[in-house]
Parts: sequence; C-alpha cells; structure tokens
Amino acid sequence: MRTEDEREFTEYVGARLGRLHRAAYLLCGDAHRADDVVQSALTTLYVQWRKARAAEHIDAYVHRILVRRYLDEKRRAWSRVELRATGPERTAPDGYDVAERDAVLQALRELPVGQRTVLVLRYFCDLSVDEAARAMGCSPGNVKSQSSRGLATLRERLGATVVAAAGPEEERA
Amino acid sequence: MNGENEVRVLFAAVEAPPSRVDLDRAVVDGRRVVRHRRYAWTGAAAAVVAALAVAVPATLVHRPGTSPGPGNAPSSAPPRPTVCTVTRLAPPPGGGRAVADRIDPTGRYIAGARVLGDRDYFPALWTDGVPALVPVPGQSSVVFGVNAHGVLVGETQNNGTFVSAWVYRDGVPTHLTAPAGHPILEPTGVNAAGTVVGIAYTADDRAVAVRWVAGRYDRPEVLAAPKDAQAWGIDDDGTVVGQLGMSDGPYVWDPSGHGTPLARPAGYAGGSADAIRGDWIVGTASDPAGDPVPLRWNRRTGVVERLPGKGIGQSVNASGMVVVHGLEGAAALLDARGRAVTLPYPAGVAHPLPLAVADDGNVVGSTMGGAGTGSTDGGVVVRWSCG
Repeated sequence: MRTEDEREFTEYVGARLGRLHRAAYLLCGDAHRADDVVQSALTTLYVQWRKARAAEHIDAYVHRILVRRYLDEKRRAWSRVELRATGPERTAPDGYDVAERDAVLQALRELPVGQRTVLVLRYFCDLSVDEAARAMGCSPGNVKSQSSRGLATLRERLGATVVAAAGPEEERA
Repeated sequence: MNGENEVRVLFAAVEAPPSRVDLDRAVVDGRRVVRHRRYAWTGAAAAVVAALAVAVPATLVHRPGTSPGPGNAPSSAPPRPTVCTVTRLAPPPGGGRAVADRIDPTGRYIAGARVLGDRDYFPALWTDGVPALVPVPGQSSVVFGVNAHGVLVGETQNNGTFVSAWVYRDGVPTHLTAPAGHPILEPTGVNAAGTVVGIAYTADDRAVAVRWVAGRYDRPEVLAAPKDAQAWGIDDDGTVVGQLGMSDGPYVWDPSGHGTPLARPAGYAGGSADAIRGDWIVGTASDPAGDPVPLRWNRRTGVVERLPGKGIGQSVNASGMVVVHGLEGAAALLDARGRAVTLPYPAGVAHPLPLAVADDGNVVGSTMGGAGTGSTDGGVVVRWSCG
C-alpha cells in the first residue's frame, strides 16, 4: 500500500474503530475475542484497501469482513471457555447499569449465532436487511426471519429491561 | 413493531471494555502481507470457501477445448462435469512452509516460495511437479510471473524496502531498469516471448504502467495513460491489461501501446482488469450494490459477463476457466461456463485454495496461514488436474 492509501486507511479506520469494536463486543460477548476479531479484520481491510475503496459502499464491505472474521473465530475450537472479563470493574457512564449490560450480553450469547449476528448488524450497525444479508452471505428473507426470531427471544429474556430502557412510548409503539 | 427500537436502545447503551486493538499493528501486519500481496489471498480459513461456493450453482460443466462464452454457450446437451484430481507437491528444499500461486499457460511450471516466518520468501520453481529453489540474492524475494519457458519475474526486498526487480532465465537474474523518476518497481507478468509488464512508483507514490520488451530489460517503456495506471498482466500477443487510477476502471493497452478503457456492464463501477489469456480477460468491478464482483470479457465477441459470486477475478486460461478470490481470502475455480468446480483435497491437509489456472486444466493451490493473521495453518502446495 502506498502512503496516500495508508493515510486514507488510517483516517477511515480511526474514525470507526470505536463502533467496530463495540459491534465485535456485542457479537463475541467477550472483550478479548472482540479485540482479536477486530485486529484481524483490520489487517484484512488494509490488504484489500484498494478494492475496498473501489467498492463504494465501504462500510458494508467492512462489516462483511468483520462478520466473516467473527464467524471464522466461532468455528475455531478455541471459542471454548467462557472468558468473562476479569479485570477491575469498568466505570459505567452516568445512569448506566452494569447489570443491565451483562444481561444484554448474556441474552445475546444465548441466541443462535445467526440471530445474534443479524441483531447486531441491524440494530447496532444500522445495516438494512439487504446489507445484512450481503454481510452474512445469506438471503434477505433469512435475515428477516432471524431478526424476528431473535427479537422475540430477546424480548422474552429481557422483558423487564427492554421496558425500562425503552420507556413507555416504545411499549405502545 | 417487535421491539426493534428497544433493542437499538439497549445495544447503544452497552459500553465495551477498553479496546486493545492497535491500528498501528494492523498497518504493520498489513504491510507485511501486502509486500507479498499474492500470498495474502491464501490466508483465510478453508471454511470461507464454502461461503463463496454456495453463491454459485453446483453443477459442473466445463467442456475442454471450447470457449462457451455468453455468445456461444452450449444450449441443450447435458454438459459433462469438470472432474479434478489432486496431487500434493513436494516442498522446496530447506524447510519452512511452501506456497505457490503462479502457473505458466502450459501447466508445466509452477512458481512460489519457501517461506520462513511471516516475511522471508525464497523463490521456488516446480518443473513437472519437481521443486527447486531459485537462487535470487536478497533477504526476501517473490515471483510474480512465470512463462511457458520457465522464465520468472519478481521482486526483492530487504526489511520491507524495495531493492530490485528482475527476470530470471536459465539460472541468471537480469535486473529490470526503472523508468526515470519511478524507482520502485513491481513486475506483474511475463509472456512467452519474455516481454515483462509491471508498475513503477515515484517516491511520492504515483504509479505508471511499464513494459520491458524481451531482451531490452534496461529500456523501460511507460505505457501511455491519461492518469496514474497499473499493469497487471500481458498476453502472448502483447496485449496488456490493468487499471486506470485508483478506481477509474479496467484498462487495456494494445501491443502498440495504445490504451483504452474496458467496458463494464451497466451500473458497474471502478475495478480493474487483472489477467489475460487468449480470448479472455478477467477482472473486477463494483456491482450496483458496491460489492466487488468478478467480470470476464470475451475479446473475440466483445461481450463482458459478470461471473457468479463476489470477489476478484484473478486468473484465466485459454478456455475461459477462472480463479476467483473471494472477498476475505476465499477462492473458487469456475469452469468455462462460470460454474463452480468441486475440488478434491488431499487427506490430512487443511483445504488449499485454488490460485491460478493453466490452459491444460492444471490448477495450482496452496494452504497457508495468512501473514499477520496469527494463523499457523498449512504451507502445502497442491496441483489439481481438471478436465
């Protein structure tokens, strides 16, 4: 990669690293594996940067790389032990409940991989159904059905939390 | 409304622990891979191949000796499936992993390397399946092209810095001379006559497409283009394929050096022409959704065709068989009708990926952990014979 490309790469990634890492954290449910997935995805993105730039919808391209790296990771045998964060408790933002975060991660973790991936892509990464389908290499119909099943399950498991977080207007929606 | 907004709110509130992701490390790892860019494509887990393969029909219908492009595709007779056998090739002497990703049009010569660590490559040439090291001086050298006479072109780097580009013929390396003001060279192909094409960069990264006519390796010719350009391959008839700018699209130069853009299907943008052989050119462009997809041009009929799946057209043979690199390092072999060919794997080897195809249906492939991915997989070279 030439200097100019490299500058574009670092600018692009620098601006999105936080969101990418949070998406990976939601997918993996584990900070270390999220780090590994993002690190590996960035190397891939660097190598394919010229093609990625030419792809125009570069964000969708990057999400696809991230999802593929995540799925690769899942396939590896070393997804074995539940590596819960063991460091000191992170400081939560004001009004933010650590127990609530853990409940969300736990509920996500209990979903099938496909449903979890669909939910994160659609409701954290804000991909459309079609974009999520491309990122996952499946049909839009598949994305829709996994979305609705995943949402139903999350709602069931997080019922109280969902109500609390979303407020009464959302309940009426 | 099934709780979508509630879930958005919940996800948005999840605070991730501090990230250890290191952008500088990604750049360093990426540079290492790009230095020897061809090998980067072999880095993905074999499972990803399945993701590409499901996107295309499973029926296999290569008919050797025909060129059934869009203009003359066989219509009714049930085509005979392409059947491939696989041979695991012996590694080059000296230990380390083996990788190979170039094959000459006759299928006799396969070029690659013995790899030590993630970064030191020692060129190797398999002749009729028998490996030998190619004694090019320097810390790390990569072969980028091999022709029907076993002539190699490649590049040598020391600690990631360009040292020289060369043609290796009958045991003797000859340096390629850089055009004025463009000291960094990346040779990309050599045809049967020994004419070499490649890319030359200025110190501030402007690129030009360059040709060195056989025997005149000290006289580089910059191929005329309206802006920066890159050459990715040369046919035996002297036609050169490449790209204009960063993403202006595929470009082709006739043997006289006159360049023209290659047409893309309506709605497709950007891209490059990556390989040429006889009637066929393969390359890449972004589809209307913005995803890179493989394209194949028939030079005789002028028809351009979008091949199935997503990815980058990387190698083509005289009958139109194509190797496509998927988006994240997967790869697939397509027959002349553009359908995925099922490749057998040797026992006990992580699935190798097809990387280049010869006119006789020989296909070279490798397994290898991608540099910088932390994987230690593979390092095995295979040859499929398909027909």
